[in-house]
Amino acid sequence: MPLIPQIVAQTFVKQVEFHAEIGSTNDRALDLAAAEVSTETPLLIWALQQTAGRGRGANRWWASEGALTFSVMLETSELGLPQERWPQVSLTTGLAVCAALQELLPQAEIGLKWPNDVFLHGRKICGILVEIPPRQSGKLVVGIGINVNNSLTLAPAELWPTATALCDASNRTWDLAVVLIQVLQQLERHLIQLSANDPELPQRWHELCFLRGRLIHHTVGDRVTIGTCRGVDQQGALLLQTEAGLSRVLGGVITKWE
Amino acid sequence: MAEGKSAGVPLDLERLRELIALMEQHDISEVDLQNGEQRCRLRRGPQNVQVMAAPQGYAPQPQMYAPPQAPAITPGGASAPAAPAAPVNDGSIVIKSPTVGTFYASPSPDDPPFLKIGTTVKPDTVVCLIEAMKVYNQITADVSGTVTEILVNNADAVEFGQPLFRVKP
Repeated sequence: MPLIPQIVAQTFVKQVEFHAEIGSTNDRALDLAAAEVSTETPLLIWALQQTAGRGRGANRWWASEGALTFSVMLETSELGLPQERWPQVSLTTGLAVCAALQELLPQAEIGLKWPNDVFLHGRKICGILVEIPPRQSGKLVVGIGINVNNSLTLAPAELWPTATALCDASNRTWDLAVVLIQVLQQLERHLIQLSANDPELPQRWHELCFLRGRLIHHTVGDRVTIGTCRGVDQQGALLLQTEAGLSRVLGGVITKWE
Repeated sequence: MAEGKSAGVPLDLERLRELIALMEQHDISEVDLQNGEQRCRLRRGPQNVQVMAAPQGYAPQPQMYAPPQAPAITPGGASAPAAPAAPVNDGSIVIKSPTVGTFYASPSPDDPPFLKIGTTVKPDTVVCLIEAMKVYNQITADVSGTVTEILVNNADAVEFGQPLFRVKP
């Protein structure tokens, strides 16, 4: 079966847009939402190469050829998710990627770094960027970048200690479509769990929390708080133990961990 | 708001009581002061007086959060929640937060704020960003009018339903 019909047949995706090269799959999805183009959701935008892939803010996503980079546009009304729960899609997507990688590499040590990264053997393998198109369209854009066949041996040297790729962890190359379909199937399963308030999700994001037990620096604006991570709570907030007690962290970034 | 350094007086409970009394006497809403490694920030509002103490044994710039009557779990990171909006019977409308997270007054740190006092808003005007788990929600006014009061500070943690702005229709 040709690839695109295969994706539609085997996953919850209803429409696929494929690009050999694009600036950013998230930007493309946001543009479609802004133009109020009629699309069937979930819509998959998949690019073999991103020239301007983004992390949050000014962070750029390093993605040479061989990375799996795609965005999924979701309709929140179909998911039954009220606005205050949309941030949980970050952690839920992270769990879906963890589950997919675990299927592909059963022996791998996989962690979910709050709120939107996946780590393999202590190094980043996947970044997730959930964005909300303006004008309250009710849509969510979930961007996922996974280092698959883009061996880190070809990456800038400063990334070597902190990042990894599926091919580096397994000493083989992977069919990107196989990885993509695996992730999409897990994403659907996990989003259904999120909609149903399945208690397994909070349990899993706490269990897989990569930062749990580590000394971390949490930054919001110009404020830095140092404490020990105690995992992730039912709502998805990071639990931070300081001398002042246990606090819940929903916003900001983890700027350092040990 | 006042900032300053006290002349070597430890920030003990008695000192804090004096400061709070002075704030009430002179109708000061916020005091932020530093004494060696200790830092203290007091805000006056209907319910909130927050104390922040510098951590012991760490570099001076990080702050930790130590409310005097800390609940077992405190909300939203290092930020002191802003005072809830006092009821005002002037026909003004309050724009409330539809979600929890961190309040950002501008699109990025280098940009001007979405709103200032006196800005005219329409229902689809973006008034702020609220971020949780790196998901940035653009919050719209959903009302028309002129901004008369901004009730939260940039990078504050906000709760669901917390008043953010006061608008005069």
